[in-house]
Amino acid sequence: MPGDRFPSKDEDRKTADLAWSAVGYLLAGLLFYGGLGWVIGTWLGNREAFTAFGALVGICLSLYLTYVRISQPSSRRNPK
Amino acid sequence: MSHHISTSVHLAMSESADCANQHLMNDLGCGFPAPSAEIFFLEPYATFNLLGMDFTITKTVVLLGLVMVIVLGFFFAAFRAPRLVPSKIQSLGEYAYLFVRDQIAREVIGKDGDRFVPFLATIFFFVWIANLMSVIPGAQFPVMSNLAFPVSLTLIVFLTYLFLGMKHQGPVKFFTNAMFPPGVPKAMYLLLSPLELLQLLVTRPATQAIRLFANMFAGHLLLTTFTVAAWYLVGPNFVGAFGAAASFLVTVVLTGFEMFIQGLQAFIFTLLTAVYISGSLHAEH
Repeated sequence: MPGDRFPSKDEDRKTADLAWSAVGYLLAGLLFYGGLGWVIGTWLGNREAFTAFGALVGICLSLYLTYVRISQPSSRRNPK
Repeated sequence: MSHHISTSVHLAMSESADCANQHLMNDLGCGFPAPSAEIFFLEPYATFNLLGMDFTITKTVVLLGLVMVIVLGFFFAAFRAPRLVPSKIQSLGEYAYLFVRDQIAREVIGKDGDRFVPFLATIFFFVWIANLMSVIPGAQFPVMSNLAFPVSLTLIVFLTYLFLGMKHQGPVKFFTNAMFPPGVPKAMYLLLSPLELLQLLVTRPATQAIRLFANMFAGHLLLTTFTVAAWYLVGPNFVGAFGAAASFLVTVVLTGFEMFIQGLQAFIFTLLTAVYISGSLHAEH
């Protein structure tokens, strides 16, 4: 069908929703894993290195999460 | 050393005393009085204590009351006695309401969106008029540049979609649906679930509030800088005339730009509210 070549309205909506939450995910990854790195660094005695490493890991994970969620077909596509 | 510091402090103070009316071209040698975050701390008109709570009435509070009266007054006037053939103000009110319904509620939430139009329209027009206060002569202060107001609004929105999510998806299901999105390998949940939860409960409301606050804060600072610059540069020679005119022109252009940003930010704030409500209504399975 010709309509299949275009993303459905729900698909559009899901992409838009995710685009808006991308900043939130990035910030969450940075804060959570940066914070975790800070705690571990305080414990092991090298705060700067662990915080930086944790922040990088956090950003990678939030990018991965955004990628997984956006490549997932929507369940709302064909409501029966 | 300490004597040196005290001298320079004294100098700076005496300079500021002479520089009550700063210009580049006068002989006092006054520096450019760049506006800082201080312009957001307003002198209170009145302070009083009521039932053990301290109240401080500043320009922001007065403007907030004014915004409320304007928005309430407009919609009351528009829909007090609705007619089949609408009057001018009624058709304007209908146009405003339908804009929120068609561009935000139906566009984002879908067919369930209609019952949230009153909520979304209230937020949109309240935020927009509050932002618009930044360029209204006499007011010239954006209410939303005080972080407390965007935070309060965001808190209302946050509690709304939290309640809706728990009602439509179940009190526990709402959080587990958010924490375990489909398509993620099982082992990764350990790493990613904290991010989902943190996104839902902390960074999502935080970014929504800060986006509105920071835009209004920066816009007001920008307008103030160029307005002050025009006044500072003005003088009876080429640099004075040209510099002041250019700076004033930039102020006028930026005022137009600010009005665009004010509408846009009000729209985005409302759009995000709709996006979050939509996410609470329909879970990802």
